[in-house]
Amino acid sequence: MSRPSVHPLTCRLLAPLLLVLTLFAGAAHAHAVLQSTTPADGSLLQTAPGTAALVFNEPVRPLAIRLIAPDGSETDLTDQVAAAAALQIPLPELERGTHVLSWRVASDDGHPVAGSLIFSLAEVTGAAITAETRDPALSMVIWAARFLMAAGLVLGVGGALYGAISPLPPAARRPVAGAVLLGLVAAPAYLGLHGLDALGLGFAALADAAPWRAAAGTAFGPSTGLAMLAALTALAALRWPLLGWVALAALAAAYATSGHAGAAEPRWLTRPMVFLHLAALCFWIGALLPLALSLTPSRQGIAPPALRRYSAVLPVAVILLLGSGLALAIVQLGPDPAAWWSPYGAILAAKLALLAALFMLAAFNRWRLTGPALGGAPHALARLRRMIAAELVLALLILALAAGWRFTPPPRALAQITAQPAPAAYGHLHSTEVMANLIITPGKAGPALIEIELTDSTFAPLGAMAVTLGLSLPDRGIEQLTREARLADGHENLWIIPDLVLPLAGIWTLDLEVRQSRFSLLRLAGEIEIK
Amino acid sequence: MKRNTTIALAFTLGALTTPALAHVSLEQQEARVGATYKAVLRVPHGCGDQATHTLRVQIPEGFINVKPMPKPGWTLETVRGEYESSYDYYGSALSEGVKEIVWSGGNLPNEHYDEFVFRGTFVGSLEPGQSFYFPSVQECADGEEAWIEQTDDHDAPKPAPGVKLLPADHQH
Repeated sequence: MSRPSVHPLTCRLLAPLLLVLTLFAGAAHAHAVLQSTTPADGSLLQTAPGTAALVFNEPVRPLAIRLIAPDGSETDLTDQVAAAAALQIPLPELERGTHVLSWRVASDDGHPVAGSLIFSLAEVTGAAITAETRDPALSMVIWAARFLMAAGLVLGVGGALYGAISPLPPAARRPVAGAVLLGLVAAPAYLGLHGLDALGLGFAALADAAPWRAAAGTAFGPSTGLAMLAALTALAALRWPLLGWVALAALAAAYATSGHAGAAEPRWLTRPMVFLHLAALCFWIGALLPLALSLTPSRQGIAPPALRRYSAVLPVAVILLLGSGLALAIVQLGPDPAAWWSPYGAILAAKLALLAALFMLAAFNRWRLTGPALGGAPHALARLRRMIAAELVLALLILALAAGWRFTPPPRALAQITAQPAPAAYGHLHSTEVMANLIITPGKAGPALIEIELTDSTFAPLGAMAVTLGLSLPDRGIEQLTREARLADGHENLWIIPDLVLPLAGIWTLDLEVRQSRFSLLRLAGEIEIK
Repeated sequence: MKRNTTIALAFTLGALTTPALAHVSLEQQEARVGATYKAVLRVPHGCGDQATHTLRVQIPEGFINVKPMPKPGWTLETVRGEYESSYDYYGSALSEGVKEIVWSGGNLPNEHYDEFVFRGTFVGSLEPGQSFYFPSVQECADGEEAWIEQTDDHDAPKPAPGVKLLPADHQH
């Protein structure tokens, strides 16, 4: 340590770079070949092994050796493994379930070779339980982004809608625009965070395309687009007030097309209900701020007509809000009362309690204060303003609770997870001459059946000598798992891999090798999403 | 970690100075269109740890008048067939010739290295700048190693041995 040395990390980064340069310099390439592993790939063990072994045809040096446990957590074992032809990898204490040993080694000319080894202890699970591995800090940030997005959009779009019904008080323009901008920033931020969560990545990965691509591929992609459209329209509505209606429709549609509620069956019911719920919510909550600001004593001339109109329509919005909320709650809670006491149910109960308080406040304002305020009594106006501010705070608390639903699947969905097999995942790979349709059943982490149908470019069945599928999950650092497919009995172009365990959810990279004849081999690349 | 790094650098330097040869490859990596080419196919190992007993080399369209070199201890056979088109070879038309070379009945243990030689002529109509591949398959007791993927990708697990085509030498 006394002499200056290059930082080890720098060396680790530089070494592969040099290797790559070497490769491009035109040297011939050797590669090590994996000959056997202990435990065997795909094996189911009854007792936990203390070590794993990877045997190569020549000495190799470990570049990255990582163990991914059934709960998705990773252990870096690289430093505990010495260079050898037979790598001995000391294993930590193993939990029950399916583990992945992902390895990358360099052979004696530095050419890196990589692969993954899957084995299960006591039972085959697949590490699908991402909820337990979620980083609490990430959860907080996701919740905050979801809340800020909802608060910004509801207040902003609602404010714009107020402008479409009744002139927006000048003092309200700036707060409304501010709320819209908050929503405009929080919506895409939430999308990226959602992607991080989906892939189980840390904040640093926000700089990569992967989480964004993953999130954009979910229902939140188009939904975020709609929400941002709603925000932009709301900004335009500050100039052309009638656009407030368009912004409202876009925002309500954004929420109707994503989230637990919009995904519940029957969708012909739930989606319109979410739409109405959001529209009524925007109308009510979004109007509070402009309404309070319109009640300044100096503006008594303007306030009463706005207040009168608003208080006439408000009961309609409240009925819509309650009715749609009730319908959604019934669908989401499901028929089994025992399942209602879930985290989802707890949030719903808290939300209902706050809502009851909000209604009482609103009713008090409506029947006790609005009359005198309409009469122009200054005391009543000031009091009404304070009470509206209290309404606003309660409404924001309710939105904050609703943002927590992001983390609590409703009882209805939990019941489905246990009752229904997950749908299959589909992948389509093609070159100019060959097409391959891939079906992975079920399309979720765990044991799966993979079917590969080969056709030519005119969809005619295409025979092959051998088919080999490589699967890797670059986002989680899982190197390629390679499996030979076998021809399904009685078929000429349907190949199956019956016993693969996909250890983690995510977007897997596919590398399909089709051996068409003794001397010809075709490689197809693609991706498939495992939920 | 430091030791690992040192080893990494040592390996890297090793790679720069003494290329190791684990892929089946051609000794001469460039050839002129329209010229004769002596292909020396280098086979550095068996299939996994098994000995190679047969080597099959495909002769694709465009490499004509092929003559493989016999090898002591190996049986040499060729598969002949019609070319897709007829080629001019020093004034005479060639429309048929060797399509596949098979050296069989030999024994190349995994620990040893050997070379397999054939010669032929690249026709003048081939496009310079491209790689021309000779897909090759090593056959062993329980399996094979198929060096047949026609790609310049250095990361391909088993690329077909190839030669880069250069423009014809017109001064010749």
